[in-house]
Amino acid sequence: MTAPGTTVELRGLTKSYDGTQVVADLNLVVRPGSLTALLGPSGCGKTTTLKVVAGLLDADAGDVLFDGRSVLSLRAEQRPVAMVFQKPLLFPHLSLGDNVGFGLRMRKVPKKERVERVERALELVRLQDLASRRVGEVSGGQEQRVALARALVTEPSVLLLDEPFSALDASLRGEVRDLVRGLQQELGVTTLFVTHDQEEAVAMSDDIALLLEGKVEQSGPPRDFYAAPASMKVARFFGGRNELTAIVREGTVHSALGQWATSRPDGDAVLTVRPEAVVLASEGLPATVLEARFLGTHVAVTVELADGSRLQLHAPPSVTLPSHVHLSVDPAATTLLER
Amino acid sequence: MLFLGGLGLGVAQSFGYLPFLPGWHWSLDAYSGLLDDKAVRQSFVLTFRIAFLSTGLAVVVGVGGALLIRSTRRGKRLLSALFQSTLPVPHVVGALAMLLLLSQGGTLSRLTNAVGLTHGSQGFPELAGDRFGWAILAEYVWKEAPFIGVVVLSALSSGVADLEDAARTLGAGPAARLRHVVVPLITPGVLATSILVFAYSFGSYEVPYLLGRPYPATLPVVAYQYYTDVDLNARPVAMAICVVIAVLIASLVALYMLLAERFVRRTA
Repeated sequence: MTAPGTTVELRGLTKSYDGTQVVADLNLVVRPGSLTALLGPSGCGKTTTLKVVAGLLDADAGDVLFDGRSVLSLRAEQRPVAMVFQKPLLFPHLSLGDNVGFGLRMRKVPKKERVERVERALELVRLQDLASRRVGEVSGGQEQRVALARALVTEPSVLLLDEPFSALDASLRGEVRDLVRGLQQELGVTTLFVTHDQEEAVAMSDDIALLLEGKVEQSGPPRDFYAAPASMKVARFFGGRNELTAIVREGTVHSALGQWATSRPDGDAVLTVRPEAVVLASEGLPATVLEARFLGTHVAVTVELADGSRLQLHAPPSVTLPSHVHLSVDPAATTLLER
Repeated sequence: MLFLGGLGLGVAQSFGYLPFLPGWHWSLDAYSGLLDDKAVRQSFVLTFRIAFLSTGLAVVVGVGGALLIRSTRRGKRLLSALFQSTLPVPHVVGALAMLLLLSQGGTLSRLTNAVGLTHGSQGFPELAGDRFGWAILAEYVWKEAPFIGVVVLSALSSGVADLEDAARTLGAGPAARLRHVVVPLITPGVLATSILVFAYSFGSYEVPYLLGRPYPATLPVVAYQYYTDVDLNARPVAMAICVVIAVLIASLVALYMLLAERFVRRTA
């Protein structure tokens, strides 16, 4: 299946519950055939957004477009979407095979075709032998795979995943995650994936949309969130960055790391830099080592600069650290952000 | 022990054990005589009809009420409380209330009389003490529908709403969700409770005694009539009727336990 995929666009989506705005003027374009993560802390409105796309919730304002056409007038059962929830939510009175076939039955697919498609879908999730089993007779991971097969069998234009791995054990999570990503790429179905786990989002997605307080704070490929966070909020959500006070004056940024040209306007700012971008050098910025912790693949070192500000850096695991070191930082690896 | 002793004595009496009568002997006469007894035959028909109708109506009203309560947004708790308010009321009280409401001299009769719908108490249809058993039916449904409703409401707890959401994303409209998700999920509970309702309405004495007529009467009432007969030889017949009722109800309860067990296993 190499369908070109559906473009999903959210325009000015707004939703309140009891006077509290959960989603506030949210805009997002999901590229056709991509897997886009809606990443954010709990309560940021990501599940609400997903349910609005599915049609399970009505937005107060805004629009949801599939390939440029609004789907707001379609009820959930009429939209070309399929959803996998946190829990498998299999129908307990049906066998696993009948669960997978449910969507086809609702769409009045003839029985013969239904049986074939259910079989194929179960093969996709590698559960072809379990069609006649009942819910509760298989493991949680297997149930979630059945739920995935149940969603995929209807050949949806848009696949919605609401933290589908969060209820699984860590060992199963990786397995099901790989399966989902593999199938998504194979089928080329546009997928919107809700998660609060940044590692999961980074590992799985083509694009990430970081939702904070009901808005898309930044969207783009995962790499951008590390290389060029758009704001302090993004930098803090992804964490691990060093923050140094800086000031911009007449096109030059001044900080404990030195000074260089910038295009940012004058004023107070925060200079952020990832620990990996700070390297030990034979000469350069002098610093005092405060703490060094061996973490297997690297040594996490905390140093104090001349002006008293502190920095985290990653040193190679074989290094022997003197108490005084010199550092070198590539200005291109730093990001200057508004306070 | 005392209970079992009473039960044993009852069974023994149904087989003719009457040591206080001269010339008593073991026999099946009481049982074989049941089918020839016109009062008992009519009573069988009446009792089954009332039990079936009241169970069926209680299921319809109970399930319908529960679904209605679930779909309401405002005043849900009030509605639910009203619906379940008959649960703690004893059947005797319910029966007396029905008598006051539905009899020809009752509240409803006076109301229709006052607005000119009927003329005099005789103009009001005979609902209590009638041949059909309208008031008995009304009492059973009034009391048992909420019982079924409570079971349905608990079966329709939050988890079912999630399953319905899943069904919606799979293309199931409101009717399909009712048929393929809600009904299958509440069926085991409804089946089990309706068997209990049937057993109660089949074996209850006080409600048909208060709201029915002496002839034709339901089985428990007929049994009591025979029990209090001046002719002590009628005693085995009374006991035989009781044994038949007990056996029927016992088999129903056995069926119920079988179903309940299957239900528990399925949802575990």
